[in-house]
Parts: sequence; structure tokens; C-alpha cells
Amino acid sequence: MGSELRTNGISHRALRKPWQSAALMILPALALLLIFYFYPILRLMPKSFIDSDGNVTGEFFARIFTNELYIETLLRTLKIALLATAINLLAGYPTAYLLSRIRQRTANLLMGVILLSFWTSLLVRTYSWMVILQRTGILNKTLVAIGILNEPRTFMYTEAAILIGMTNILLPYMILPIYSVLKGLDPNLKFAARSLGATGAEAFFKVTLPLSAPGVASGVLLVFIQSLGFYITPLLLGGPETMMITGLIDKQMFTYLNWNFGSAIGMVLLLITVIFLMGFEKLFGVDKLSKGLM
Amino acid sequence: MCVVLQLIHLVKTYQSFRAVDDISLDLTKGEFLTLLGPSGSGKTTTLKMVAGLEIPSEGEIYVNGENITPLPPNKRGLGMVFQNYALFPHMTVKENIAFPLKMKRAHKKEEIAAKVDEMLELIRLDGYQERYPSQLSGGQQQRIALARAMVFHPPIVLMDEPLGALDKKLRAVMQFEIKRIQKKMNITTIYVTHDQEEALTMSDRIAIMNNGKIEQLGSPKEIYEHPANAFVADFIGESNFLPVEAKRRADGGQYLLTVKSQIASVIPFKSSSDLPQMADAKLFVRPEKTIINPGAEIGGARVTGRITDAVYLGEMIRYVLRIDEQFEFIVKQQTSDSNETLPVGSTVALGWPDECACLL
Repeated sequence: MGSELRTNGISHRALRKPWQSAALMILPALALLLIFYFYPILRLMPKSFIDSDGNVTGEFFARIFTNELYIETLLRTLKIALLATAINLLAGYPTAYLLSRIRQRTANLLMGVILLSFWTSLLVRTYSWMVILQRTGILNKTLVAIGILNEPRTFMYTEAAILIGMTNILLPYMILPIYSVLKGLDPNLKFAARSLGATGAEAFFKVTLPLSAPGVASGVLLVFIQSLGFYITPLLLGGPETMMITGLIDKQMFTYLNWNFGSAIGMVLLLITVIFLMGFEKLFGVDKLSKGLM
Repeated sequence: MCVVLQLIHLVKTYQSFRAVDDISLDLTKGEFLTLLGPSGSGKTTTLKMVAGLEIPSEGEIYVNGENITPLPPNKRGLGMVFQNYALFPHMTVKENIAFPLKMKRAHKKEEIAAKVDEMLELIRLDGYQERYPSQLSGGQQQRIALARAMVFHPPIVLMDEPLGALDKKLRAVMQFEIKRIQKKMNITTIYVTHDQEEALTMSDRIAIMNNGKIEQLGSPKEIYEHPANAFVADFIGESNFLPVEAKRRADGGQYLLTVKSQIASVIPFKSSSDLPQMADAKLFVRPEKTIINPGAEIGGARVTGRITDAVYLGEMIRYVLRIDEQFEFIVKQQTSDSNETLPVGSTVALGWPDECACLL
């Protein structure tokens, strides 16, 4: 086929079948995923059920679900991820809504501010929160100075500290998809609702909010999945009491060099993520959300 | 006649720009009024002020004698149809039409369902209850939008270029549909369009708008045949404007018009109304009212012109002539078996009945 193309020149390029160009276009991404994602996973996965003597065993998985500490860590991870998602949604939706309604120039400016924090290194932002939240940090000093607190309190190493840091870092992932959907809505829809007797609030809850559901769904998905696997921020802002699943994996692999157990926990995390994704797809699947919107 | 809608000295300014500049209008029950004008003439702004989507800078709006100027859109109880339909894409046809009824909270469930079905029957889309707007064609979507705006029997329906997004053939069908439904429900309608043909076919009255002002308000026939000024004459249909100097003759109503050219042909003109002396006037004649080589039975003016172009358009031939070798003049002649296209370059006499011409 290749020689055919060459002998007949450019005219034959147009005859290339659609799937061929599609395959060509996804090739780079596919190669990257195969080499840097699927290959390591395939190497790691067997470790979770094959012990060092080469025997198949369920011992590593059994350990996760029989040890109270590990179950607690799993549940805490889920709780923090859900809370972070909820806080991000509550903070992100009104922001996105405001951005979609104000003048374009002001909106671009505010978007710049949001993206500025988005573009700052995650590590830098996490350390900044440590500076703010620590015992001798800005927050404690201010609260003591204005008399709200008598003595400095411990903000660091708590779930609250983790949530604050995660919200700050993940918020753009919530705002951007919601904003883009709201911005794309026909403003006449709101006008139509108003002219047909809906109050401002009714127009929002019956028309704008349901129509922004696809943005909310992608925002929630992006934030939740990232929260589940968040690593640096919980590690630095949290303590041993607030360890999340990623911290557990890190400890097993790099402190105890227990690769088998570490990879078993990793598989569990992957499984949880996939289950959530599937549940999400079933509840708010692409076809359901896009129904009537195209 | 009972007046349903009254606009009193309505003004809308954006900074120093007067988008709507002192508009006053009365609409009677069941009337179909079209706001017609080029884009930026203030017609949509006027409509939005009536709907409550824009706040007037000055003036008042009355519906059935009640001042609605300070009311928000949801308290005005008017129906509105948008150019892009603005159907709620996440609701079925049934839910869309039921929306205004649900917002009123005055109807029972069965009552709402019955009203929706009745509307769907009226717009001939019965059986489409459970479809989503995206599953319908443009014409069907527009009919749903119409039903949604009329289902709660508002005193007035406002339509903002509702057919703008449809193709020419479908537009003709929908013009007829809108008129049929509007007449059947006897709903007072304000219709905004920039399509003059649409305005002429559908309206009881047309308000020609330009620069935020109403240039002329009248029936389609009045506006087409007796335009108040050059803007109206030029905007509606094709027109000839011949620059002339008008002089009154001794006997009443008779004028002599001198074409402002080197040759200065003189055209006699009889006016039904009294005109002032005009040194700088324009004689207005419609191309299709002009007759080539008129017989004696056609009274009125005569002027000669030389044909410079002739185009066969199927139902008619469109001639471009020059009068006094200077001013362009267009004549449209119905095609029939007997007449053949006149050769370009020939000089012919032109005439028109006096009542078909006027001085602007």
C-alpha cells in the first residue's frame, strides 16, 4: 500500500481510509501509555498476588482487609476525597457562575488569577500552606493577635489542613469545566424561563443548573479521582493520624521495601477508582448527560 | 376596539447612544404588529423592553391599562418566542410546553396535561410529547416554541425574528402557520423582523423603524403604496427616486416636475394632497407600477427613457433605463405570451397612474 502511495503521488492520500488516519493520530498517545503506564502496571500487578517464592497467594489482599489500620486508612481516603470534592463543588460552582456572567474582560482577568495559582508548582503551594498553618504561622499569629485564640492551635497535621491544601490545588479543575459549560449556554434560555413566569431562582434551578450538569460531572470526576490518589499534599500537611492510601503505599514500598504488599494496596486503589468511574458513568453517563444537549 | 398594549414615549439609551428614541404605540386586541427595520434600528430592544428583559430609560408600558414598566419579566405574563427557539434542551416537548403553566402554580396536573395536548394538536405536533427538542427539525422546534409562548393565553406574544434561522421555503410555511395559530387564539402579537416580505404577508400593521424611531406606522398596503419618506420607500420593496424640482400650476393639485438633468424633461403630476413648492424633491414610483409604452387609457405622467439592461426573471422582466441619459430608473414588467423582451438601447415612453407616484 505504501508503494502505491509513492508511485501515484499525492492524489492517493485522499483515499486513505478514515480509521487509518485515526489510528495514526492516537499512536503517540497510545505508545506513551503503553510504555509508561501499562508496562509498569503489568510488572507490578503480579507482585500483589505472587510472593517472593513465586507462589500465588491472597495473603497481601487479606492483610489489607483484616487489619483495622489499613481499613481505616482506606475509609479516610474515601472520606477526604468526597469532602474535598464537595468543598470544591460548593466553592467552584458559584465562582464559575460569576465568571460566566460578568464582562468578558473582567472574567479573563479573574481567570488569570485562578490559573496563576494553577500554574504555580504544587510543592510550592503546599509549602506555602505549611507556612500559613503551622504553629508559629501567619494564621495562628493573626488569630492570637486579634484575640480570637488565647494561644496558638495546631492546624497542621489534621484532616482540615489536608482539605484546605487540596481545595486550593484542585479548585481550577472544578471551575474550568463548569465555567466552559455555563459560558456556552444560550443566554436566551434564561430569558425564556424568566419571560415564561419563572423567578430568577426558578430559572436557575430549573434551567441553568440542570444544563450545567455535564460541567459539574466532569469537574466532580476530575477532582474526586485526583483526590483519591493525592500524594504530596496529604503527606506534607497531614500527619500519621491522617495518613491516606497513597501515604500507605509509599511507606510499604520505600520504608519497608515490601513491594508485594505495596502493589496490592495500589491495586485496591485502582479498583476503587475504576468502580467509582463506572458508577459515575452509569449515573451520569456521557449519553445521559448529553441527552438533548446536542 | 380595546387597547391591549400601550407604549408611551419609550426611550432606551446606552451611555450616549439612543437605541430606542421616543416610541409610542397602541395595539388593539388580536392585532398583529410588525416592527420592521434594519439591524440596529432598535426593534429588538423595543421588544425586550416590553418583555421586561431590558429596562427602559424613559417612558411607560401599559398592558390592559396596567402599568407594567416596573415589573420583572416573570410578573408580566407575556409570551416570548426567540429567534433560536430557546427551547429547554433538557426537557421533553411536553415539559417545555408545560413550563409556563407549572411556573404559575395555578393548575392541576391533569389540567396541564390537557392544555399541553390541546396546544400540540393546534400546532399539529400531536404525538411528539416525549421527544426532546434536539430530535425535532427547525420548523417543528419553532412550533413548539410558539406553543410554549401561547399555552397560558398571555395577553400579548412577543416574537423576535422567530423564522430567522429557517430556510426560505420552510419560512413561507411557518409564516402561514404562525398567522393561523395567532388568529385562532386571537392573541395580540408584536413581531420583530428585518424581512420585508415577511412583514408584508403577516402583519395587520407595520412599524418601520430606523435609528430608534418609527419612520412610519400603517397597514402593509399603506406602507408599500404610500411610503411616508424615502427611507421607508427604499426599505420596503424596490423603488425609483427621480430628483425633480416641483412647481405648482395655477389649477389646483397640478404640478410640473422638472427632472434635474441637463436635458430637464418636464413631467406633469397630479397630486391628491396639497404639496408645498419643492425645489429639491424626489419623485417616487414603484418599478412594477411603471408601464412601458402606455396606452391612452393610462392617465398621468409620461417620460422617455433609454433601456440599458434587461433581465428575464421568469415571472417578470426587469429593465434598467436611463432618464435624460442620467438617472437610473427600474421597470418591472409582467411576462406574458404577447410581449417580448425589448432590445437594449431602444428608447421607450414610460408612464404610471398618478395615484401610484408621490413626491418625497
